[in-house]
Amino acid sequence: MTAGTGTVPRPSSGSGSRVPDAPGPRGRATVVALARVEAVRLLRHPAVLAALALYAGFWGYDLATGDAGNRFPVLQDASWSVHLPLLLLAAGVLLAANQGALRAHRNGTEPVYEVLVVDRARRVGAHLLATVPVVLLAALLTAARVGYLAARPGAAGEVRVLDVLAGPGCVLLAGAVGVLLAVLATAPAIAPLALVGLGMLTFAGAVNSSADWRWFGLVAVENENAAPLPASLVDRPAGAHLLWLAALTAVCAVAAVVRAGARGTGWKVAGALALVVALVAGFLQLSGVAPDVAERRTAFTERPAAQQSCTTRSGISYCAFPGFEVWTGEWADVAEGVLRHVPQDAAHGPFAVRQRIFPAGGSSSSGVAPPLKAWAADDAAAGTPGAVTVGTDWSDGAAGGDRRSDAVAGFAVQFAHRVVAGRVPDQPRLEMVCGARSVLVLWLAAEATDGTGDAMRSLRARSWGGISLPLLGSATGLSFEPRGATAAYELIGRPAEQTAAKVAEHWAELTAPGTSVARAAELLGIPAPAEDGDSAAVAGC
Amino acid sequence: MLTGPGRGAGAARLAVALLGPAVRLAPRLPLLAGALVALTVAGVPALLHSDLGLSDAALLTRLGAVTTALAVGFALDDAAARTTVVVPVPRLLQRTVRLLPVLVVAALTWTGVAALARLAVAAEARALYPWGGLALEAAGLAAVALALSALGLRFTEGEHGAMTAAPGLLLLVITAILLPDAAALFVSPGHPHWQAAHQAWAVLLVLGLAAAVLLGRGGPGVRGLRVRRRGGAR
Repeated sequence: MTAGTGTVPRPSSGSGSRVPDAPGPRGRATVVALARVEAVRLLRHPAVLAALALYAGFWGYDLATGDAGNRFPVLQDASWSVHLPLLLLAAGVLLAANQGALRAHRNGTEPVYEVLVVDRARRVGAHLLATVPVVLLAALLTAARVGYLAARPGAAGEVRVLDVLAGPGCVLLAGAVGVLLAVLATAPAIAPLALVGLGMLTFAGAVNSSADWRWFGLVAVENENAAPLPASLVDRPAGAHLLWLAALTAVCAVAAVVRAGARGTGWKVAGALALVVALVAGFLQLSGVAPDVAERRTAFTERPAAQQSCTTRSGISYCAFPGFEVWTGEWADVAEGVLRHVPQDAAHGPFAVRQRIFPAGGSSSSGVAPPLKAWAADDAAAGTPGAVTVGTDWSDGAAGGDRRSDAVAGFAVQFAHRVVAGRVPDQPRLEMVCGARSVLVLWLAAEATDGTGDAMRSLRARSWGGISLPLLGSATGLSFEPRGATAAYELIGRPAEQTAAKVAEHWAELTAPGTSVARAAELLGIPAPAEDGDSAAVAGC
Repeated sequence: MLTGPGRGAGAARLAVALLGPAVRLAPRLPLLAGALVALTVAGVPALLHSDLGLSDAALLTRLGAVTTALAVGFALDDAAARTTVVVPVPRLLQRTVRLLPVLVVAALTWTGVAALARLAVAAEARALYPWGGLALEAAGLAAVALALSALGLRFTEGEHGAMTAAPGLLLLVITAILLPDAAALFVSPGHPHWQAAHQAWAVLLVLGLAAAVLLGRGGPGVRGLRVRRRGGAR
């Protein structure tokens, strides 16, 4: 039986033969009953099952590989980044809901349904309601993922519930869009093409991560080059975004039901209300950083000591922002690892480690000078002069990706440089480390822990010539003579204890500013790196 | 079914005869809408002389690859499959002929998108535009779409392959975008993993084509017809 055969008599409107709608509680009951059936079909749809399998695949891959990349999650960032794999489920739900709502058209049974008690608007309503269980499933998956990350021993910061809820909100909106598209157009190509459009919008938002308009998309991605901020400095309009997603869902749902034939003032009012809420929420998202948060960011950036709590281990102070105290043990392992190969009477102590942020660092490719004088004054006032900077990124060696791997390498190198040179970088530019000092600093950093060794090898694999480590993405930091880096990486592959003995024996000469790379190689028993006058001149050594 | 020495020539004559209807039945909406989106998105930076980087140009080209592969996924849909199962033309030949005009338009669209994307690249970097690698990605995506479509035809009596191809292709593309760096399929030109990623694309292309041919040869429609014949004899 097909729509074109005319074998099913269509009820004629206005002749008195039209099947009356089922009003009141009975009508609602039939919608709920139909929604229940459609919900099961939606949950069992291959697109939803495939999306769930792929979502689980990402998590399974992490678990199967030890999930070292997520050993030190920052929960305020994880609260929104957990949505990215959930977009798979949103895509699956959009396509499955669309195919479900088009089923009657595809099978040619739409005219048959005209004789049923439940009219088209209610059937569309049932398809919309049918997306609720899969949204609950999405919420469950998100909660499980966030709970898993929060339970990791290295988790820092706090979960932001409104950010977390936006993920299931995306799935709900995707379902409503799928149904609306089915009501607007019966061509099966419309939903996939719309999904491509939504994908383009999401991708454009991800690559323009500082643009306000990205909040009009499904997920507002943050700058992947920027380090996380302490929870009290995060100012994502998560509530407005959640309201935006909910209002858009309501607009789509009302539009679908009205387009399917629903009449009445209530629908018009609901549609208008949803539209107004969507507009208001849409513009609320664009309000920018609140003045009090901006002030707090300045205070945290320039005067971190007042915001931090400090602990002492083996005579070294470690000061962390609220929520990041759990990482002080990791920093201590690196610092003590560096000091393990340093003669006890030679280190320029006492040492301190202070966590800092520099929000401008991740947003500029050319490098912005950090407030070095303010930092020095803050350290002096707090009784920790020359404190070594550590950021708000951390990882298990190289497993956390480039930025978090470089955070580990960066801290190890900064601390080793503090030990060898007796000072921290204090100029608004990259400070060149030349000669034997460059070899020694890099070797001490790499041999501190297994993780720093991994991070340093990862850094080498992504570097050309020498090694440069900007401090928190700023214009200041350390840069190493290319020949010194070559010699250091030659040493890194050798047994540490033998090298450590030679380092202890020749410590004074190796740390002297005038000792060359060739002399360091001779003292440490490795072949001297080839002379390269050009690179040394460029490096300024 | 065509048999005997004249089989090859007969198949060719049939293919030519079927080509006209195949052109009329081509999935115009996904082909045209996809082409419009991809050509517009790639054309605007080219017109504005945006001097894009190679990564951005590759991104625009990949958008063209996804929209054309999506259209290819609709090529085998056949609302009359249940009725044409009785005609003495092999399914594979029918579907190959249906596919031909779609592949031609898809290839032309992708080439246009790629040419525009290349034009949007800064003049000094244009020579580095990786035609071959990006074409391999496009072909791989189209092959996967075809294989998924042929699989979908198996479950819908030869009618709605796109019901499987479109969601399958888009979910796989999203998955590929989200893959960790070590396993990335969409890598920037010049990335150290470019070669390895394109070996994976070549494998996907071969597997996709093989699966499309194997799954597209027959289908439940033919088996169903046999069952009905037996049932009718009883």
